[in-house]
Amino acid sequence: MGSVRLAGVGLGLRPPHYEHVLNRRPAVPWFEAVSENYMGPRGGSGGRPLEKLLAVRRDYPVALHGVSLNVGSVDPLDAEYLKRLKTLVALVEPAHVSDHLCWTGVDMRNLHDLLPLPYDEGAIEHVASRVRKVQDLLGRRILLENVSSYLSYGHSTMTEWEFVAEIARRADCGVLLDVNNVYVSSVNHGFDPRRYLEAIPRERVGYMHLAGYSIAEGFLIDTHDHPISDPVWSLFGDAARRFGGVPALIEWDGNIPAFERLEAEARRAREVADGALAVAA
Amino acid sequence: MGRSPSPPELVRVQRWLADVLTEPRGVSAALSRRPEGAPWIVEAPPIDRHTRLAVYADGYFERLLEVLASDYRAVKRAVGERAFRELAAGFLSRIPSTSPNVTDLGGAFPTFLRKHPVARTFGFLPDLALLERSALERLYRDRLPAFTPEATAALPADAWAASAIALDTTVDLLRLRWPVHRLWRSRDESGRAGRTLRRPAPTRLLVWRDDWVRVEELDAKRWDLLCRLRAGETLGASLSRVNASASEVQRWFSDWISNGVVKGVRR
Repeated sequence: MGSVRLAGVGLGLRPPHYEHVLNRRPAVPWFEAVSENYMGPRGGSGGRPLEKLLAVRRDYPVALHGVSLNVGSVDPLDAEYLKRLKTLVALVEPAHVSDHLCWTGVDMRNLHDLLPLPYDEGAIEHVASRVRKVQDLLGRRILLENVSSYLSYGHSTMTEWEFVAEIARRADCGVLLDVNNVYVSSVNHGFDPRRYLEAIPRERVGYMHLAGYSIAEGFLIDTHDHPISDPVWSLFGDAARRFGGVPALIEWDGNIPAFERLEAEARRAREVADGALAVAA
Repeated sequence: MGRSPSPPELVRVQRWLADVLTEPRGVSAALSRRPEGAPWIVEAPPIDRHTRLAVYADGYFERLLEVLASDYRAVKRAVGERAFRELAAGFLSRIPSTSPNVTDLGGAFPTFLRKHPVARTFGFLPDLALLERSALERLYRDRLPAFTPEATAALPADAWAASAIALDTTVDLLRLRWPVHRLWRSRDESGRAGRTLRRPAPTRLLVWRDDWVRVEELDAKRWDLLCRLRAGETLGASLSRVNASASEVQRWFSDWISNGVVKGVRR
């Protein structure tokens, strides 16, 4: 992991809040930034967003969280993308570098979505070998996040939690445990989310994500545009008990509210975690 | 977990899914055309297989439409929501994303519009898209350090004429047929005013950023001077070709230095 250790409940850094963060220096323990937003388009560079991120970094620890590593794809790893990520990592010196356990495109066509993999031995070996290459290139361990999913494959031979734990073990990477994603997928596929938490090795969890979902007809969609729901708060309490003092992060990407609303969610996360740990003690 | 008789290779699964999820006519049409992969997807409560696929297919289009609508707000405002959706759908089926970064998605949109029949109705649209793309790209350029008074003073007075002027790396100079900067400035307004242009007018624009992106209309003399300086001509040679008074030149440079267009002098 990075040299900076995270603690407490951080917030996702989003452009509407740059000026608030830079001018008022709110008491937030750390921020998470979406890596691709600071890498710029082809032929470009980080530009204004990177100027803002580096200004925030002067006062706060930062974790970098990507959406386009495409680690589960059968396409070759994108060397240009990795080069730009490595440059960004060198500039930001983040506490963690993470991306998603999924595929986002194939045959050089990018779907810009977090698509699930079949949970089988072939996919484990494929992903684990690619994660090891990424970690070798970056010179550091990365975290992989479990994604929300709306479909699963009939040829899967294990559960998602077995798949996540085994990839983390074989790749020797960490886990970014998204509690909201566990809950969303548990509703969409009909499994017990607490079994999922119990199967994730404690020592591999770098931090946890919390976010809000949308309710569709009979299922849930991970939209990050609502407050965190009561079932997810409850599951987060269980996660806090299991994973001890692991940091957490509030994500909010659509209908982004005032910064104070995010701070309120972070306060509640601290209360839920503290309460869960007090009960456990 | 169930096990199908012959598990498909990962490459087959991913190619099939990508094809189904990006079919412009929707999941039903895609499954009619490519039914072979449907049994790979679990059919189980609470939602059926078609809906499971449609969540991703709908998300694909809506997500990329949102990116284009954000990057081309003035174009969307000019043609309206519905027409913009149709333009975006046509664009995405012709030029799908090949970049890990969504900022690259709309790079070819101005060219697409130039060749599209919509440009016959809205003649200004390709120029407007070009300006919006330029503005977005300025946002993702790193700036040079500010040109300080100390740096200006360090250059002997007799050395200026033979020196080249460094413009900021964010500077773009656009020569357009339509005064689309008027539409760009009102791109976030909700009223109907300032959404379209009726008549073309030759337009020269300076696009750059200090903190935010800025767009300024230039007259022929300033345009000519900035083009020459950007091409690497010395200050003396450039000024000798531009019919401007000393006070004009002094005022221009004062503005360009203070607002971050001019960033240095190369001897």
